[in-house]
Amino acid sequence: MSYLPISKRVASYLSSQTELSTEKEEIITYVVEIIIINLLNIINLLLLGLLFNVLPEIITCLITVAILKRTTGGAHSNSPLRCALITSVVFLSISVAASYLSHIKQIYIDGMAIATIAIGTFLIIRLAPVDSPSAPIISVKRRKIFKNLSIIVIGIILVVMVFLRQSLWLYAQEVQLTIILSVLWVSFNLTYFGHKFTSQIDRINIQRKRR
Amino acid sequence: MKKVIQKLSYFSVTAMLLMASFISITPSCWALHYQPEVPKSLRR
Repeated sequence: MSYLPISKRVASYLSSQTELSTEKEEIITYVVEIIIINLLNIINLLLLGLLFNVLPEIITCLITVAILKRTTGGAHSNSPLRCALITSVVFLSISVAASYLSHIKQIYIDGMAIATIAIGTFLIIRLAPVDSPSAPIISVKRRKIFKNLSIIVIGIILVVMVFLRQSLWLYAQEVQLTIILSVLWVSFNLTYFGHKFTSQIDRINIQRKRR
Repeated sequence: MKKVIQKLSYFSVTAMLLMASFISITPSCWALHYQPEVPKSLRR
C-alpha cells in the first residue's frame, strides 16, 4: 500500500514505542495519512478564504461537502497533490461565485435551491454510494445504510436551506448559494462525467511528470 | 521523560485505532478528493 513517507515514519515510530502488530501499524499509517492530508488541505483552504475574503463561504463549502461526501462517496484523484489542487480550485471558485451571486433576487436563489435539491436527491437515489478501488464497500447492507444516510443528509440540507431563507443573518444568501453550489459539485462527482473530469486532471499531471 | 513519551504514544495509538474504526465506516476521505488506500482489515 502506498502512503506518504511521513505517515509511514510516524506510524513506525509509534509502533516501535508501543510494540504494535504489522496489521495495526498499517491502520495507524492510514489514520496518520488521513489526518495530515485533511489538516493541510483545511489550513490551505482557510488561508485561501482569508486571502480572497470569502472565509464564511469557504467554511460552508467545506462543511457541506464533508458531510455529504462522507455518505455519498464520489470521484477521487489518485494523488494527494492533485487532491489539494482540485479542492483549492473548486472550493475557491464555489466561494467566489457564491459571493458574487449573492446580490441576485431571493426568488432566483429559491429556484436554484429547489433544482439543486431535486438533482441531488435524484442522483443520490440512482448512484450513491459511489465507492473507489482504494475504499471499496463490500457489504450490501453497508451500501443500503450509506444510501439512506445520504438521503437523510440531503433532507437536513433542505431544512438548513429553509432556515437560512427565513434568517436575517448578514451572510444568509452567500451561505445558501455556497450550499447550492457545493451540493451540485458533490452530485457531479457521483456521475460518470465527474469521474471523467477527475481522471482527465490525473492524466494531465501524469503527462507533465513524464516530460 | 521516556515514560511520558511512551504513555503519549499509547494514548495516540488508542485514539488513532478508535478513529480508524470511525473513518472506515465511510466510503471516502473527508471533504477532499483523494482517498488513501484503506487497509484490508478495515474493509467491510
